[in-house]
Amino acid sequence: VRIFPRRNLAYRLALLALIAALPLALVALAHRVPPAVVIFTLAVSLIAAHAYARGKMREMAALADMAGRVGGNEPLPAPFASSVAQIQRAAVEEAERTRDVFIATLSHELRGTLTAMLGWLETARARIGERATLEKALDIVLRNARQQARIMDDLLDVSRIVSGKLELSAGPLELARLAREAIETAAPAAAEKAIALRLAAHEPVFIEGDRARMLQVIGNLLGNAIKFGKAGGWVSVSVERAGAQARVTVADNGLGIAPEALPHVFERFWQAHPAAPRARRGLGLGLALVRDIVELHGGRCRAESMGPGRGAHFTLELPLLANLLQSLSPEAGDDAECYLNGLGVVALDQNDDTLSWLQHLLATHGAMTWKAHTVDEAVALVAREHADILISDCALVGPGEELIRALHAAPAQKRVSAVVFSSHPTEEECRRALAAGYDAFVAKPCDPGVLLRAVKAAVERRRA
Amino acid sequence: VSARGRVLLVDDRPEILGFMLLGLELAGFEVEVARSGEEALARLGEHGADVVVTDIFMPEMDGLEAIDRIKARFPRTRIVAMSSGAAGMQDYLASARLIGADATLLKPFATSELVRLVRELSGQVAEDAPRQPAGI
Repeated sequence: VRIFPRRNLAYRLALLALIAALPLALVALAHRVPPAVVIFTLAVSLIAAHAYARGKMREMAALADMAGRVGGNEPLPAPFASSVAQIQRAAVEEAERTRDVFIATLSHELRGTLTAMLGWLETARARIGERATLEKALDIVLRNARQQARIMDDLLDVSRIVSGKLELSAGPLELARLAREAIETAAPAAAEKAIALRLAAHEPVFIEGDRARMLQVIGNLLGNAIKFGKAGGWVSVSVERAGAQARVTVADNGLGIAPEALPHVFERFWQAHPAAPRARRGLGLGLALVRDIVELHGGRCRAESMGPGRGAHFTLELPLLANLLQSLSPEAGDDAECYLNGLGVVALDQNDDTLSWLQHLLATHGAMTWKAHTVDEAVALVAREHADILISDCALVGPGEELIRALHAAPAQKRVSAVVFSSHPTEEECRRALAAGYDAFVAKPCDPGVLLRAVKAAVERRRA
Repeated sequence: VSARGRVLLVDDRPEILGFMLLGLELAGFEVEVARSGEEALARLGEHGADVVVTDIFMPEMDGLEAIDRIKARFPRTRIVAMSSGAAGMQDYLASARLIGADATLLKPFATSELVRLVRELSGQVAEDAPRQPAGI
């Protein structure tokens, strides 16, 4: 079928010229042909490329024009009409159907929750003296109001993503810990269906990410797995490293996904089982948000299932944080491996509680610890006590850099390791601290094991 | 003095059944509830009802099918169809009326509106064939 006859002759010639002129120009360059010839052939190839691009644009414009005519029911060139128009019409109808189902579902959800709220508020007013009825009414109104709030949040997120306005506040993020948090949040819903939640995470896995958004991602996947899970079944979350990627897998032994549905699960507004009981239906936003947020983090996600009734696996892969912590590779989470035999540690922190915790932790693992509240105090203590390592909460870009400079100023202290132990560090702070000479960056709060391993590895690195 | 009517409420959301039940009981009706079309037919088979108030969007047997089957088996029973259908979509309340619903309620609705409708419809049933007051 010739969709674009004759009028595109110029465009075809341009393509030929481009194909011919560019290699000619390169050959001329390689054989030290006079510069004028090289410039001439290059110019020809550039003009050809330009003509080619214009031809392409005309092709696009023609397609758009055809599409417009499909909408206007105008007759089309025969071969074009039969194939392309059919496909376009089907696509438009599918999009309209999806939109209608979404609007109906949204209206249904909003009116449903509103009906329950209004009904129970009226009941509460009519029976204001009955404490049990009042309590029940309040519970129901709260639950439904929260559900509406969730729907609004999802809608807002979708509109932010569609308009490119979703902003991430990225920082170092430990996924195993995050998964544990998501599991705690999902526990009540799982308990209702007697679904066992498991976590398999044997090492800290850091990425650069937005804490609240990644929590939302894992939470959505967990919620989905519980929603489609078998009563009395299980849902497991695993967090691990796979090459340069962090991998999070949420698996269940629930309803599963039909093979023909698999490619669509991350599509916006798509629903697994439109005829399923209400508890299993949604607006088709949850997994779409998962995909969108993961992609904004530079990651990918995929869904796998052996088929209906055979459970599902959702896997996320995100780039690991390029951080020294990643190389610590603790083989096991056993604290015994982290015996800090006789190390001298100076801990600098504004907070006395944190200092006490650090001192206790380090002491129980065989280290001597001195507490410091200011930068000067810390530097003086390292010098006086011949400490091996400084743990500092000073993540601030200016003071943190001054501290490491002051620490390594004395030749005798060049081999003193330094670890930043700071809460909510930004990505920038993390990078600059490592660049300034710190050996590791540990985000607060963290498991004792994480800090101990970081301390041990930092000291070993300096000694090596 | 109004005769005590029997009402069957059908919805897959227990939270919606709950307040409707309390409201209608307070108005003096005898109320039963069902979570699905199947269950509604079973309840009707056991105790009958003057008025059935049913949701239209329900899993398994959908409300329209339930209305159709109730009308066929219990022709004297009056039916109220509830819906949260969206404009622009198929008008389910119109379909419900076509199939045999005597009245419709768009969610959300006031409990007083529900009570008024049910009272009116159960009154019609009472006129059709006056019920014997149960026991003395």
